[in-house]
Amino acid sequence: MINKYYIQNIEQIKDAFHNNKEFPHVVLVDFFEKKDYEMIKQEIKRTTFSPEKDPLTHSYSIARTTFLNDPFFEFVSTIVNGNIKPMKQTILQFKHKDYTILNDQQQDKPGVDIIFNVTDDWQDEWGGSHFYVDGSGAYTKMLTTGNTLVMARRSADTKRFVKYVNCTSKQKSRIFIIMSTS
Amino acid sequence: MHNAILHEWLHPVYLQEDKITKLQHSFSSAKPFPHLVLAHFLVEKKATAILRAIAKEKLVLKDSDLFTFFQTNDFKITRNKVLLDFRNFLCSNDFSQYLTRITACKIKSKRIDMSASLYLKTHYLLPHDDRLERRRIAYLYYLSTLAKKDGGALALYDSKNKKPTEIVKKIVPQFNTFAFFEVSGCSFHEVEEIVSDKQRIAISGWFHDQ
Repeated sequence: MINKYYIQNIEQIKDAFHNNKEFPHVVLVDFFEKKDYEMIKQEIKRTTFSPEKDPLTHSYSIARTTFLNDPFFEFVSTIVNGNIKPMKQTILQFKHKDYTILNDQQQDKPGVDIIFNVTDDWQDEWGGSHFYVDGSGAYTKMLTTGNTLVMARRSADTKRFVKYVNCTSKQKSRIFIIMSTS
Repeated sequence: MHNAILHEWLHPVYLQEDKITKLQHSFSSAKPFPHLVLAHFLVEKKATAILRAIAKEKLVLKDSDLFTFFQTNDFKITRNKVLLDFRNFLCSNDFSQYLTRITACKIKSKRIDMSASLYLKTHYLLPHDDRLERRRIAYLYYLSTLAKKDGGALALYDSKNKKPTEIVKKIVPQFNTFAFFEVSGCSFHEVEEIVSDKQRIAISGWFHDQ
């Protein structure tokens, strides 16, 4: 279940999202109630990931899921003023040497990114953070901890990448549940 | 070919005719794409002076989706005479002709990109091909020595259908070594992450075509 505070203050969150005129986005910490977040983490532990690599664009491990249910998508739809239907979710796991790179072939249509961070105790200097870049070269870094939801509206010029995970992360990995609409 | 400026800068072995012939063959036959690594490239005192000069240059952190490392401005605006002299040597008519002879790539003298970089622990440069208008030869002049376990190697990718497949060669930085390769649609390479406390110091850039 979504944190009651966010349910009760949904209009304020909606305003916060849309008031970011240049890059509409919002970051919600402690997004799920603790018990539900723990359940999601348990599901992730049971998930089998498949490594995927194209050196010029990405390196990560991937899995598909349907953890997130109808109330979640109703909440997201209300915030972004759109009709976001329940969809399959991608789980991406980033460990040492994983990354994504911006590239000229990447032509995401405008839409909404929904990114849920499922990693506790991650140090920012290990890498693995999401960055958004607009056409002018300006960067927005998404500082997220475990149980944080990011909703971001992509324009035609907005692109997203995940910073290389460096050796100081050792054996740890960073996991996100990601959905994108277009 | 045995011109004064080449004698002043290059290790004498690289001016021997039979050596040049061998270098031509080594470059063109190198896999996964034409490249060459010249150890003990400059006369020793030049290399040492360049390393000392770099220590006085201002470094700026470069950080993007593709890389993290420190870099100087292009040497064309440096006030350091040692670095300007090195730049003038590399873009001289004589060295351009020397490089053209080895690579069979027509290099334009007087036009070169050149800056120094410093990689510390966790710094890296992810795979790319270096292609940009008029870049013909990419080069790296190493000013520190690393071991394989330190990371920081220049890793060359094999390719298929103009896409990188796997790393098939690694060039580990060694002091006073000059490495260069032909920039093409298959010159995929990366600088591996530094994973120790060693520093990777190099001067790098591109020669342009005529």
